[in-house]
Formats: sequence, structure tokens, C-alpha cells
Amino acid sequence: MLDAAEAALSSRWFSFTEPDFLNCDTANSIVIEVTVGELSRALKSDERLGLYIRGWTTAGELRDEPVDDDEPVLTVRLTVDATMEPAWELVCDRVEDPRPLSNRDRAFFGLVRLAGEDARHLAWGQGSVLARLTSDSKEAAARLAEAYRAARASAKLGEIESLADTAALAERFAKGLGAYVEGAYEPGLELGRSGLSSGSIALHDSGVPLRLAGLGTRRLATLAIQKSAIAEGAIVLIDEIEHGLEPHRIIGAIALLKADQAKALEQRKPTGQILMTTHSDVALGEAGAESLRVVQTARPGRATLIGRPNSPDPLRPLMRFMPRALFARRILVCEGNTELGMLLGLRKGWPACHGGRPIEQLGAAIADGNGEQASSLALALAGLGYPTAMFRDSDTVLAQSTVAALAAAGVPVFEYGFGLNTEQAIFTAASDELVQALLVYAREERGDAVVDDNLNIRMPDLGVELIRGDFGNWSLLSELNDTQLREAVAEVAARKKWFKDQRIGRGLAPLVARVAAANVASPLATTLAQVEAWLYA
Amino acid sequence: MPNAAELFGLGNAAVVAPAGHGKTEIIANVAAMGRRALILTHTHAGVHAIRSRLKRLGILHAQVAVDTIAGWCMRYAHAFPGVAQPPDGMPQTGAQWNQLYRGATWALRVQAIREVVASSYDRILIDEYQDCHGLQHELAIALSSIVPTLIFGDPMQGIFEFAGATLSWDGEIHPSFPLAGTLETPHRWAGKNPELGQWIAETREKLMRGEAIDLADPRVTYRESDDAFDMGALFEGTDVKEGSFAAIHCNKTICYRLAKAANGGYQAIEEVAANRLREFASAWDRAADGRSRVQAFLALSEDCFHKKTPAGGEAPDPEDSVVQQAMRDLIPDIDEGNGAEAVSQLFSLARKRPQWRLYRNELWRDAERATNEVAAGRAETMTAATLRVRYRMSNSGRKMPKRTVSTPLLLKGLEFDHVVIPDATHFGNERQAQAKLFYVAISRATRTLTIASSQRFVQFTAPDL
Repeated sequence: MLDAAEAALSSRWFSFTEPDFLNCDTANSIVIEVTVGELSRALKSDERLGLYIRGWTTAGELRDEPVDDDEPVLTVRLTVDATMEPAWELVCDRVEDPRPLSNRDRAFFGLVRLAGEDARHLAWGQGSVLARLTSDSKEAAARLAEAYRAARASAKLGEIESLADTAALAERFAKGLGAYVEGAYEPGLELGRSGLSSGSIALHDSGVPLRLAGLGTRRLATLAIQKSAIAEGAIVLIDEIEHGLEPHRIIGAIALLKADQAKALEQRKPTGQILMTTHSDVALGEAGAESLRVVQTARPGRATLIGRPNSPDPLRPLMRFMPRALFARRILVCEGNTELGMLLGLRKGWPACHGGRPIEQLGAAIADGNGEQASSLALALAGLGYPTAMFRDSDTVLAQSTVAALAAAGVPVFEYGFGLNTEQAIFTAASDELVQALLVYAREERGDAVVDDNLNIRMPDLGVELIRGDFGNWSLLSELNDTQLREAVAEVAARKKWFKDQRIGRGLAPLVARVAAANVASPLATTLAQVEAWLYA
Repeated sequence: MPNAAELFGLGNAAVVAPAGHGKTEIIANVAAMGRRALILTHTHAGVHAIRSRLKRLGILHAQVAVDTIAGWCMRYAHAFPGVAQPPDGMPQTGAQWNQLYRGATWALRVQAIREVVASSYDRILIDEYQDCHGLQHELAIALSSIVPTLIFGDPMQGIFEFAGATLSWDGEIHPSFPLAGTLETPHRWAGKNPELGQWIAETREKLMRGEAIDLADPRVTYRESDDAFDMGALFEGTDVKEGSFAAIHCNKTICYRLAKAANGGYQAIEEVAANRLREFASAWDRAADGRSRVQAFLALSEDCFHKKTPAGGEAPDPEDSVVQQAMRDLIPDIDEGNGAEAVSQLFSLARKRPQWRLYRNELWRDAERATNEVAAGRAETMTAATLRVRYRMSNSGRKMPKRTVSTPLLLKGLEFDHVVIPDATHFGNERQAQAKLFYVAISRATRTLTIASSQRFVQFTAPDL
């Protein structure tokens, strides 16, 4: 996706080979069309591309000739046929002969691609951003030439004002984006190369070439320097922003990029666009729901779709609690922490029954639905194109409209039925021995006194001594029968939230697996079997 | 009168520029001040004049776009045909031209197109505003709502009233383009004949008020004459005076007759529409046989040459007879194929006849070029060939003959060292804009102005301004 955008809009020349074509078949030409808005003055001028503008409606649709208050946009088409010769042109149905685009024309789109390993931008080589930044001052060429001469003579590059100024500028940009700066950026001579050229002068940080800095700092410095060379409204392509960065620097870099855009917006300047790919939930969480686009590739046809949320609001809780689920191919939304923790625990046991494959290998993920928001979340995910299912207990009834909406969106809902919540489903299906094991686990987690006290208040006729003993003996002295006792324990467990915690829920999983295995006809077992089957589908 | 820098800061405004007061210069200077300016004028000749001035002043090509109003409208209307609904191809009828201007104005209501205009220019300057009609004025108002627009013109040179250029300066123009001032320095006469410039300026004032003009003024040469074809006025001093000459008369037909009477001493120039050329081309294309083709050729030669016939009993000029025979020999070939090859030779032989004097050189030259185009196979028909020739002409600019006879309409915007008005009283017979026509005629002169008239005092109806 980023490659396509870059090939279409960058001023660079691209060479293409067979593997760039679908199925390596050059009979199918590569065609990339990119429509760009927020056009700069230079692009909109009638001496350049102004008469080829098209209209972008307020409803977000494209029409060939603008009307009313459509935003002026330009559509660039890159075509590569079997000759491998790329051709750039403007799409405009109103003119018979398409307007070819030169590399100078394309440079006006202001595209920047951050490719982390590119040391080119950290030196003053020909066409480098540093050289361009230096050109901002007058007589730059002469000064650069003077710099080379001076470099030969003394190698005291720091004394050359134009280079030192640019280095200081680069340092400021880089620091702004969160690059670690050890001392100060300065121009330095890179030894060990044959001959002296502009590329021999590179940025140094306290004497160490910046190209030897850590990957993250190198990438941030490169991005900062590249971005600063574009006056306004740059289109920035960033591959895997998180690459080489600690979480706090991911957050810092994204926050700064967003702040830059907010500032431009406030000053009514072009904001540009940042296209960023990521596999980091930290980056995703910081980017925010409104910035989210989901790229999904259908196989084997390899048709790739980009989905955007109809409304970002339902996704916000997911972005906050479990952004990582968005990286999955199919998502199971769990209503509460008990269910979530329980399934996360149970999934450890599943590979054994599925040829050793964990659900993650199939791209399936289990996500926190944050209670009542689970159904709106599931609907939003389905809307983004994810196969989505929901797992919930049955103590509350879903509104009829919600049930209909979920059905319409193709979201299966897995629940125990019979009005059972998870605690009831577990306890009612459990044998005496397993109820006892569950109580032992609850005591481990919540403390003997708490659990015993909770139970004693609910069932005063048992007495604390008996409660401390084996559950199998309770029915001997109680007015309640086995079933009623289980219901009472479940009711206390739910009300007192013994298991409503992700970690505790996870610890509960081995016991739940045993309960289900021992009672395969129970609602608990059948529901969990459905969940497991869906995740492995 | 504000200077160029002040004009640049004014926003929408109008500058009145009497003839010869350095209008083109100030337009060029204002245009050079911004990032990129658009200069609009009416004719290709005007575009050439402005471009060459910009070049002379060393103003960068990228800094100023120069176009005709029609050309600019064609560009924008065809770039956005959905909203502008332009007529197909080049407009032919008045209604089609009107649609073009209207459509371009409609396009300027679309926000995105307004952004294109705003991004393209930071200043718009419109020249010869007195020649604008209502729809062009509406276009100018639409443009001025996007980019600060300065208009330049002279109410006294508004001689296109017959073509609908009847905007009232006070009533229609100044409400949108407030008067910034009137150019005051008569550059055209500086170092040549400042007294003449002074007389023309005074006469301009009188003409505006509809007052009588005394032609017997030492600053001009007055010839009392009853004869509109007084060759004495045309040729007085041509042997001693240096520079270019123009004789000016409002009537096109009289201009051709004057040219014919002057026996090639003055050349008539052709209108942009080139009706006579087109007439020849369509007669040629219609011709079913060689005979009709020869007729088309002969009819054109009658309109271009003064042909002397030997007086009775006089022996024919032997040299002329030789060329005549050569032409006769070509007549059978004219029926061969498309006949263009033969007629092309006839065109060139006609110039060589000692007894024939060419007085519409431009017409003859264009017709000859058109036949060459057909002969070389670059055009299918004579009509297509004339279009090519005229198109090339309008894009390359015309070279004026040393001595020209023509109308104020065709000579407007040009200047000549010596101007002759063969008959001043005829301006009073013009139905529209008589005072303006007279002003345009006299203000062409830079060194001498000769006015022949049956009356010493002439008076014209006060102009509509």
C-alpha cells in the first residue's frame, strides 16, 4: 500500500520487474490511481495542473468536474505495462489526451517516505534533504563548494556556518520527534571512503556518525529532517513506525506528528496526511480510533480492501483496553473480565486437540468488550470487515434491536441460555468435587475469611465450620438440596465478584475445562465447544 | 496619478489612459511586482505588443501570463465544460461568443475553480477596457471578486460601440472599478513633437465636450481641400520625411480606393476577419472547372492591383506583354488536378507585371501563401489553407507597410511618425462614436499630423462616455 502511494506520487523514478505484477503476469498492467486533495498553490495554478482539477464532494465522493463547493483534487495514475516503463499522468475525463506528469510536477505533492535504513538523508549528498535545507540560505551552492574546499584543507567542518546551522536545525527537528541526542549534532567528515564528495560530510552526534546511532534514533532523525524540508502539507509514508522504538518513544513520536497536524489545522494551514503502517498496539492506541484503517487481503485472489469505521466511537473502548485484537483476522468479543480471562486460560488447552496449532496462528483473537459495550463493539468490528463473534453470559437479555443488528451483521452470539451467568453455568455443571475445587481456588484468591463469610451470610443454617469443610457434606445438614446449594454458591460468587478479574478468570480456566469435560451436555460445555469451534473455523 | 507600486496595492481599480501616455509600460511594471500576474487584452496584436514590452523590460516569462479575453475564456470554459457549456470548437456566431463569455463567468462561481484562479494569479490587469462589452464586463467583475483586478482603458478610444462595447464608465465600470487616476505623461511625443502631443491632448478635451476644433493650428498641417482623394495631402513631404506614414479614413471601401488611387504608394491592410480572402477561397473551392478558378483569381487581382491600360493607340509595354504571355500559358494548367500549382505561379507572376501596381499587398500575400499550402498538399481546400495562414499571422504579429491607408478601427493601438487625415469632415457622417474615431485617428501621429478638410472648423457630436 505504501509502495503504491510512493510509486504514484514520489518524484523518484521507479524501475519495475516481473514480480511486481500480479502473479508475475505482465499482461495485466499495473495501474495505480491516487487522488490527492488539499492541493498546494503551485499545483492548483493554471500554468501547472489547475485546469485538470476534479471535485471531491462533501460526502466524500469523486466527480470529474468540480461543482459548487467541492474540494479541488487531482488524480494521478501510474501505469506500468509489459515494457516495464512507468508512465505517470493525470486522470481527467474532460480532456482527450491525458496530461503526463514529470518528476518536477510530482515533487509538488510533497511526499516523504520514511525508510529506516536510509543513511543517505543523514549526509549532505546530492539531492539529500540536508543539502536542500542548506539551500534555504543564499549562496548555498557556493558555500557548499567552499565547504568542500575547507573540508579538504582543515576538516573543521563545524566552523562552516551554513553546515553548522543546518546541523543545529536538524538536531532541533530530531529532538522534537524524540530522537536521543547524546551531545550535539554537527557536520563531520566520514572517513574511509574513496574521494571527497558532498556525501562525505555527514551528521555526527558528539563525533559519532549519526548513521551508527540506534535504529530508532536514526529513523526519528531521518523522519524529522525529511519532514522539515517540506514547507507544508507533506504526505508522509511511515513503514512500521514502532520499528526500533520503545513504547514511550512510539507514543512520543505519534503524539508529536498529531500535534503538528493539530497546529496546522488551527492555523488553517495544510495539514498533509500521514500514512503509517503498524503492528504495534501501542502505536494503534496512540493514533486513535478516528485514524484507524484496516487493511484486509482476501485470499487467494489477493483483493485488498481498506476499511474505515463508520463511527469511531464504538471502537474507542477496544482501542483503550485491547487494541491488539485489531491485528487479528477474526475477533471474539467477550462481555466481561471473567469470560475474557477464562477463555485466555482455556486457549492454552486447545492446541492439543487441534494438531498443535494455537488460535493465534489462524489469526483469531479474543478481545475485551468492556461489559455492556460488547455488542456495539462487535458491530463496529463486523463493520470494519472482521469476522466477529460475541461471547456473553445470559443473565441480562439483549435488546431485540441489538439481537437483530447482530444477526444482520452476521455476528454469532455465544451464550449459555437459561438465564445463566458464567458463575451459574460453571457451578451448576460441576460435580461436588469440582465445586469444592472451585471454592478452594476462590479462597486462594480472595482469602478464606472473605469467602467463608460471604457464604455464611447466604446460608446461615450451615455454620462456618461446615462451610470450611468439604462441599460434598453440605447437603447433609442443609435444608437446601444439591442444586439449590450450587445456585446459592454461584449467586454469592457472582454478587461478590470472586472471579471478575482477568487474571483470576485465567486461573479458573483449568477447573472450568475439567467441569466441561466431566459434563459435556451442560450449557457450559456446549457453549465453550461452540466458541472453540468458531475460533478454529 | 498613483505610480505602479501604489496601483499594485490598490485592489480593484480603473486607470484612464489617453493614447500615448505609457499605458503598456505601467501595465508591465505593475504585472512584474507580484508573483504571477494575468494580463488580458482583446486582440492578438495587443498580446504581442504587451509580450514584447515585457521582454524589453526583462520581465520573466513565468511572472506574467498574457492572453486575449477570448483566449482565456476558451481555456477555462473548455477545461470545465460541464459548468461552462462552451460551444464546440471556435465560436462562429455572436451568440456562440456570448455563450463562451457567459460560460467562463459561470465557471467562476464554482469554489474549486475560484481556487485555481486564486492560486494562478495574484493580480489581474485588463487592457483596452473601453472595448469590453457587457458580458466581458461581467467576467471581469467575477474575476475581481477572486483576485485584485486593475482595468486600463480610455473612454475616448471606445470606437467599438457598433459591436456592443457601450459600457458607461461612470454608470457601469466605476462602481466595480473605482477610478484610480488618469495617466498624465504624454510619452509618445516626448523627444519627437511635444507640441503636437499638446494639441492632441487639448483636442481630446474639446472632443469630449463636443466643442468645435480649429484645424488651422500651427502645431498641425491644415490643407483646405474639397477632394477626399486629394493625392497631394497623401504624398506631401513623403520624399523628405523619414519614418512611417498612415492615411486614415473611417470608410473601408474609400481606404481601398485611396490605396488604388495612390497607385501602390500606400498599402491597404486587411481586417482580422479577412473577408475578401475567405471570399476568394470559397470561390476557388466552389469552382467546378478551370474557368471558374481563373475567374476567382482575376476577381481577386482586380481588388489588389491598380492595372494601367495603355491609352488608345499606344503600344503595349513589351515587358508587360512578356509576363502576360507567361500567365496566359499557365491558364490551361489551372484545370489540372487541384490547380494550385499553376495558380501559385500566377500569383507570383502578377507581382512582376510592370503595369500592375499592388495596393493590397497583405491580401495578395496571404492568398498566395494559401495557394502554396494547397499546392504543397498541407491543406485540402483553399478555405482550410486560408485559415492556417491567418492563424499563423495572428500568432506571429503583422509587419506594417511603410505607408498604410486604413481605418481607425484597424490602426487603433498603433503609432506612425506621420499621419494624414484625407478628409476630416467625413467623421461627422459616422453614425456612432464620431468624436472618438477622430481622436483615435489624430492620436496615431507622433511627429506630424496633416489634416485635409473642406472646412477650417470641424465639430462632432459629444461622445457617450
